[in-house]
Amino acid sequence: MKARGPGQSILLLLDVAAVLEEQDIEYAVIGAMAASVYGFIRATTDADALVSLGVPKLRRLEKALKKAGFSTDLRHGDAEDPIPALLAVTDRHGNRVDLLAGLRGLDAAAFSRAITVPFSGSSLRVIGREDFIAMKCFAGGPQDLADARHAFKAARERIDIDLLRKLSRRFGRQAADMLEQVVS
Amino acid sequence: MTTSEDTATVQALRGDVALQISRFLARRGLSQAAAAKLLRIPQPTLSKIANGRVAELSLELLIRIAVRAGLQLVLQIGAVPEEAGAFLTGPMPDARQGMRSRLAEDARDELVATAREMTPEQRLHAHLKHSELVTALQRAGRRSS
Repeated sequence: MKARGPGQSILLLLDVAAVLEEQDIEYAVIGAMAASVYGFIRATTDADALVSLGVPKLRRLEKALKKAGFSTDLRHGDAEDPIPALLAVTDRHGNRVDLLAGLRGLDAAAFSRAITVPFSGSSLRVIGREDFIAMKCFAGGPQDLADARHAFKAARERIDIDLLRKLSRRFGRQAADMLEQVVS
Repeated sequence: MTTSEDTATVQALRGDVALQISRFLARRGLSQAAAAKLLRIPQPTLSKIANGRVAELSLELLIRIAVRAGLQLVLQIGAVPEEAGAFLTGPMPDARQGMRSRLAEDARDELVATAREMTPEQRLHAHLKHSELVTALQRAGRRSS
């Protein structure tokens, strides 16, 4: 296992990503790690990733992760929850990776738009910039909006504003309103 | 896209354009009578827009009203009705709420500019170091309390 101490959830994520790749499961890193990739570096105690997986297959993944030596905790969202299920993976140092089995409103093509970022002799699939901004607009908290603004502002490549509008609108009118504020 | 999907797309656009008009009216703080006069529409039509009852109003009419209001809108359609919407362009009237500090914004912009000079891999390494440091500080705090 790569993580050798606390505060290394990103290294735990590398191990988890290796299991996902072995199982041929698409994933995309989101949250503070994606925020760092897109321009604003900030600390986090856990790592978040979306997995392209239904709940039944998530149980199979949980078994594979346990077999690989990780502690796991599978939780299910209620009908109102935008996240159907979450598989928390932890190690003995307190590092943690949350695998989200989908998100209401997420475009399934988000996984194909994910980018590959080399890291520590390996690589991670990170959610695309437009998907990241739209998701942050959906989350809607002050930190989320700050992340979305930084990701928008820090872009060196052209941002596909049409795609951004479509993606945010999929998450609902409120997310679209947040986007209008972010891009203004 | 199926027939029901194209109908749903137009409905979504109607709802969004009406919402933007309704917000414009709220920002202006006009009475319904004054707003109806400004937009050159009957007051019952305005009332329907303000209450989101737009099923009987055509998209064309709503666009005409938005033009009269001087709204700069982008109408977006996509592969599914959920991607359809009306977006305001240009500066938002209430884009940033709460406290604004030029100093704080400049400091954040400097951090973003520094990060911009790094590769994504370097940013992930910086993220790792930052996370290790913050976790160590949290643990030290717990030990000392």
